[in-house]
Amino acid sequence: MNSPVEHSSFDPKKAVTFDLPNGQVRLTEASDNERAVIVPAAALAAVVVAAGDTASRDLGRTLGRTLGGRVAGRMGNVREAKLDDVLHELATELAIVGLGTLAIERWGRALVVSVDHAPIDHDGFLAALVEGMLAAASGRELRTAPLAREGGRLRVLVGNMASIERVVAWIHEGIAWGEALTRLHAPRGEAS
Amino acid sequence: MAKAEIIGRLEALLARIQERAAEPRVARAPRFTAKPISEPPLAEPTIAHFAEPEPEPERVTEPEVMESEVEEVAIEVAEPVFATPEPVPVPEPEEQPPVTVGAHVPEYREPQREEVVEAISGEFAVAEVPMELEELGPADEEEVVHDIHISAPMKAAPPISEPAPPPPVPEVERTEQPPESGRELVAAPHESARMAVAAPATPDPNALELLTEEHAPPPESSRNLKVAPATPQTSDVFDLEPPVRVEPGPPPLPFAPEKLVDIVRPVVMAADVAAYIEASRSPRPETFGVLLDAALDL
Repeated sequence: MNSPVEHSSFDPKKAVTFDLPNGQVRLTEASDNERAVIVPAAALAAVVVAAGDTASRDLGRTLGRTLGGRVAGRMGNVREAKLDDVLHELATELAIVGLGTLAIERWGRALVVSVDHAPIDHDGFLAALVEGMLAAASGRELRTAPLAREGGRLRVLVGNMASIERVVAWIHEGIAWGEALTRLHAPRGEAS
Repeated sequence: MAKAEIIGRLEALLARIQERAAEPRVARAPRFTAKPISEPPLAEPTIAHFAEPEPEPERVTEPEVMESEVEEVAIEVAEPVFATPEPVPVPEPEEQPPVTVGAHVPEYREPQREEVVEAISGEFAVAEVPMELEELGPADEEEVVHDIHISAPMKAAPPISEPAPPPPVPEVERTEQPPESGRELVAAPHESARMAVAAPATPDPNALELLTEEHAPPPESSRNLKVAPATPQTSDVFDLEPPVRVEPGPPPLPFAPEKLVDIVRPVVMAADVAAYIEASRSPRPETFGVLLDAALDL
């Protein structure tokens, strides 16, 4: 297992490069394809709201894959790294682009990612953002679903497609998200 | 409900409890940061990652929260490099002789000394006033007296390279009757005024000796000015006194001393300490991939 020191090659000071003479902003120093655009959060929120659920999730997933891909590029084998190190890298990427902070909760075997201080209140967009980040970083296809929002904190459940659909159905039925997680751990025959 | 049915249900429930007890022991997940949950009481999920000798299968556990501490880093932005266009070469104008047509070159005059004319004492050679008179008519036998009054003392002009402005024109007053018709006196006031106030380059020693002889010695009171006064001046008294020092006192306490007990009181409860020790002892071999696979297998 890699040590945290080995993962700390990322220099946040060079995370964003402003090429003012050429009018370009890059999220990484070396790559030429990492051009970025600084967009006000209000403008992005307006786009997300106007685009609808499907398009906003696509946007969030695309953005998340970009962030997770950079984490994978820095850390190498993310799956073999410790959870703390991966979380640190993911949270750093999310903070650089100004989309909030990241935390991970483990409810049994369930993995819940909480996003705080996000400037955009669209839960579907943020859940898709987490989905893209984790998928690109780990190399596994996965799904996410927003569980609950407490003020500025959004909890996002990470799972496979079947489990996510089940939890979403339970929440639509009015079941609390904690109870839904409990049901998720039960055998399939007893959960329904 | 029949007794047999009740007994059957109880037996099934007992078998289920025994089955749960036989499952691998569930450990309490280490808690890094407590996150208060304001939601209604939630059914706690079971944790299947760490072994702990707990017989209760559905023990209420708290989530393991891992927060990443992202250091706030001020991104230094390099100063932009602006490509400035090269300056277009401008041909230098050819040197041409200075154009003097129409130019008014003021006449240079030496700056006058900063001396008041009235304060000049001693014997100075007062030059003759070259009053250039133009006699336009026949000479008058009667002597005409002209008094030249200088309205303000002339001071030396500041030492600048430019020539000093011309001295004020002396006011010429006629004390006698104006000349007869057909005669008009025209004087050159500038030259006459300058010559009248010009001091000699070197003072005449004879004149100085004459000055000392003429002036009486200073009075006694004025000659004893350098004698120290009998009573010290006010400033001397302040100099002799030692300076007053204000020693800084102890800083005021922001709280009452009795509140110290509350400050040093340990805020960590014993249960939290035990949980922390337990969490630090428990190994965490799971990698991110293992945890993710477990979550995706649900």
